[in-house]
Amino acid sequence: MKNPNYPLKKRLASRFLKALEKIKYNMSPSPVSIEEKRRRHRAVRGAAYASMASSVGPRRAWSRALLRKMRERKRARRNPRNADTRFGLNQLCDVVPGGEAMDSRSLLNETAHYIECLVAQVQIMREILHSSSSSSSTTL
Amino acid sequence: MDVVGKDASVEPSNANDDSLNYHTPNIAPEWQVNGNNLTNTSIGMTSVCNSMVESSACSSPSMVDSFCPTVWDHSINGQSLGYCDVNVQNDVSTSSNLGSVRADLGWNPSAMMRGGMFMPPVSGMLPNFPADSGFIERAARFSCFSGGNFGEMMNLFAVPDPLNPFSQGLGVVHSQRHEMNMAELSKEGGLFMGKPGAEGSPFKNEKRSESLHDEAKQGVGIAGNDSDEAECSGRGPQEEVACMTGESPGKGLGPKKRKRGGVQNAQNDENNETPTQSAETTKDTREMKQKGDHNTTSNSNPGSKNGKQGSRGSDPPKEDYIHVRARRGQATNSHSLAERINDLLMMQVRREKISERMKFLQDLVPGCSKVTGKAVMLDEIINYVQSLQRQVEFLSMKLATVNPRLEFNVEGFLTKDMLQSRGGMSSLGLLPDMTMPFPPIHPPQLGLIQTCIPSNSAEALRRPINIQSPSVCAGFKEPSSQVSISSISEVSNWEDELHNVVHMGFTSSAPSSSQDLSGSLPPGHMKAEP
Repeated sequence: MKNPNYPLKKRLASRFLKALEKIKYNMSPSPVSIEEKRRRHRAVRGAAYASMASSVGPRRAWSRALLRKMRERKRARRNPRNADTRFGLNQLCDVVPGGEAMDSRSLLNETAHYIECLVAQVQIMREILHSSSSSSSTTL
Repeated sequence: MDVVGKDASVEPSNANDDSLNYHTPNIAPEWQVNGNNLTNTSIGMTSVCNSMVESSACSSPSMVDSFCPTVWDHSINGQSLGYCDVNVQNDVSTSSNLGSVRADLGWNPSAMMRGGMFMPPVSGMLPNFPADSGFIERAARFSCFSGGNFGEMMNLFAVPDPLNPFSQGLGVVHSQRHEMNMAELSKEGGLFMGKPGAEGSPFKNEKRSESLHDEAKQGVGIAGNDSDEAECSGRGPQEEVACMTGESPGKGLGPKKRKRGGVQNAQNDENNETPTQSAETTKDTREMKQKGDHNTTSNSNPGSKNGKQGSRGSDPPKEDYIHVRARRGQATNSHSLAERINDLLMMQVRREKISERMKFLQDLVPGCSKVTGKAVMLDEIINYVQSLQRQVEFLSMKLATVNPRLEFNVEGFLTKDMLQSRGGMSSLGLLPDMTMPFPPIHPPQLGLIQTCIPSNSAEALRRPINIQSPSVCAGFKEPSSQVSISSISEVSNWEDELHNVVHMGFTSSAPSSSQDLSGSLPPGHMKAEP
């Protein structure tokens, strides 16, 4: 595996944790409805991708595309849609956000960086989960 | 040639610190990217050059003889290899400088911790460095060599190539994101150019990348890294179109010649041998291109070109004129032929670059070393990214249901994260293999987590854990996780323990409730200890 990218992970971790805190503060302690759970899930997932994109900043095409999507979604938040657009998951150009407007070389570049960020994000989330609680994580 | 090469070889090591210190840490992966590209493109360019030598009968034979074979073979065989050794020690020192200068959290401890792991990547990247400066020289030489084909090349850039999927996309991209490309170019081009260059300021790097862009544009658009090339060749169509509009073949040689002088100017920068020429070319190219800053920046060019082109400064202008004269007679004949040749060469180079990217991605995606073929690799990459995204979804789902009364100790969490990434990585490497849909993800994941226990437990068991086990039990028995987090931040060895405990807890009671988990953990944990 590559050398772990500590600065990136540090940025990711701090941003994601802040976003999580914000979400948690708005959360009611005991989620009851399915819709509430789904909403929270979407919020956390959005926070994950947002922290990824914002910690990478406008340096990368995929992060720029993600940030664009965030802003669009923020404006359209007045009408929350149940079917969340899943950040495009069909082909590589769909998988990597903003991949449609790239040539193959930059697309592969973006994919590499995107993979790296995803890996870091997943690690962080996993660490949060494992460290925060081993007791309540199994309840869904 | 060799002496000149040594000059260039010394510079990258000096520039390493600056460029690294200055640019964001994310450049580290791009180093490898650049390096990979450069090694292969350098090799590819020899073949390119040789094929061009054979096929371009239009070029003056004297130029061919004097230039390409000897120069290229020299550079690739002699310099880069010897260079590699020179740079090994240099880059080792620069890596240590990296550790000190970078204020990144945990960089030094991590470097020391994984001394074994850290050095191989650096040394793995080292062979790429010499190729960088060597590649720059070769690119310069290549651009000089292919002076005869400039007209065709520039026409090629200008002509929208239907076969070339990149040019159109590049045109679109660059019309939209020119400034962003500049930023990226400065970053990556700066990195690329910063190594051979002496200074590390981003502005200078941007200038260097500009100058490199000039050269590369004229030299079939072969640049150091991909984005560089993307932007360079992307700008190529823009500018070349502007240059080439309404030009007859005869006139096309004029701007080519002037650009040629511009290249020379960029190369002869520090020698100040041709100040007047630089003024002329600057003026001319400023007329031609709408970006005068290119040439002004190219004037303040890196020292890498300095030595080499300084020695060759006198020759290229003469050959340039020779080429111009030769070109005039055979412009129409060589158009189609050289165009086709350039098409093929560019395609070949691009394919090589893409294969380089794919190889790099192959390293990123776990378990793809045995896979061959672009299609399969692409599928694997897509699957991996999708699985990562699914993991993010799953983890976010889990996080969303976690007790909201968590106290997130950010610093402690980060420290823990740094130290635990070793263990975390092992678990992560296993998980991407699963491609299950979302709901039934729990049991398989638990089963998969179980498999990474041996690696963690092996480390954990060797440590003195007796002292910590009581607090572990205490932490688990308490419903709120504040104690566990704060204690985690205090004790550095905790993470692996916790990881172990959590994993063992998961495996011991897969569908069981949380209380059962916490109840069963301490005894299981204590039993596991020797």
